Amino acid sequence: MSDERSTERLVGRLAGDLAPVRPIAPLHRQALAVFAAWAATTLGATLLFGPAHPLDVIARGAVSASFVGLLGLLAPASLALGLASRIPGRERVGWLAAAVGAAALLGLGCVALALGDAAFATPFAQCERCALRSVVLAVPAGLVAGLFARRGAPWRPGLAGAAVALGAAAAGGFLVHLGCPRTDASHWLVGHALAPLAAAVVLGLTVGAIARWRTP
Amino acid sequence: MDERRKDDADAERAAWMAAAQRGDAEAYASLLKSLLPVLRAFVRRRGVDASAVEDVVQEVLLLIHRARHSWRADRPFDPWFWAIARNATTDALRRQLRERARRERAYDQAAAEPPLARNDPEAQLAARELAPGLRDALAKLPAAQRQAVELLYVEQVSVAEAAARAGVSPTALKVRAHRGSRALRAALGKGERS
Repeated sequence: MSDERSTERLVGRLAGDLAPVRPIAPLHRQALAVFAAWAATTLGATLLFGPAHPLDVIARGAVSASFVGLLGLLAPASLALGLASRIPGRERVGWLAAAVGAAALLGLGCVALALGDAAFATPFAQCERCALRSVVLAVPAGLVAGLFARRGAPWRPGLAGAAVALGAAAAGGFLVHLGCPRTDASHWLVGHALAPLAAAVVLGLTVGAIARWRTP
Repeated sequence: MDERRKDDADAERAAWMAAAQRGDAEAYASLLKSLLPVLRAFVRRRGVDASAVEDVVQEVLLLIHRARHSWRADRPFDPWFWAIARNATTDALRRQLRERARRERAYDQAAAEPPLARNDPEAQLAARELAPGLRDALAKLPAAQRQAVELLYVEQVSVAEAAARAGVSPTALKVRAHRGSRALRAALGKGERS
């Protein structure tokens, strides 16, 4: 139990301990940097795996087009949530991003439900490569966003970690989906969405838990 | 008029905070001191126990200190500050609720245990009212000291009767009770600090 006098003493101590700090980058500049990392990844993936054909992918049908749209929505929304959650006073952006991200996740769930029994028809071994690629392609954007989130306010590390990882994995899955020649929807669902997103969330929560544990 | 005054206050705090980010300790102290009254009122209004208000206020001050780099001079100060205050207060309220539930569970458990003196309603009542921390500390005392403390301070029997029931001289009983109460104080003091 503390009293008012000890609070006054704390004010004195905090002022005495004060050191100059560099303010964090504004949210829009953080978002731009993450987008630049993702664009660089896209360029690298194009050079490595050949050019993607977004229009062809969309023309494959409603399921493929919905993957483009939903992953393309989930990625920026989730990354924005992760970044905004570490900046006090940016709750509105965070809530908006959370709503958009939740809608995108719900959409993915609806696609899985609509596929019915065919949703998991493709064995995971055949989706492994795409899932791994999604995670690898998520690294640059995830790393940049993670570094920004790390420099934010010291709270909600689990939420920030999970949201950043989810967004980065969605961005990676988005790229993989654009370049994947396969035409079975269950492969898209498992290899481009579920597996990388689940792996990313587990990783993000683990990083968040470690950050919480290390916070004094 | 009120809006304008609020804007002025925000601008003043923003100026202090900008100076604090550059390392100006005086501006920082002024800022923190100006926040204290509104912060205390806010924490009280949110329903934090009166005894914990200053703890939460100090927690907010520490959070402000650790998160001071996350405010930008091109943004208003107040939304940033209130987000931190809300966050810390919500955490404190959650802790408070958990602690209350834990105490209630411990109380129910203590009430279900056999009372120290079965036939004495006063002793039963006293035993039920023992704080959980005190009960734990009491259980850790050596048997002779525990018996002396229970007889004198929980059942509140006379020294002579307690000595007779313990089968020792009144002096020996008082020594045991004194040592027991000293050990209890030490154990409870340690518990409070940790």
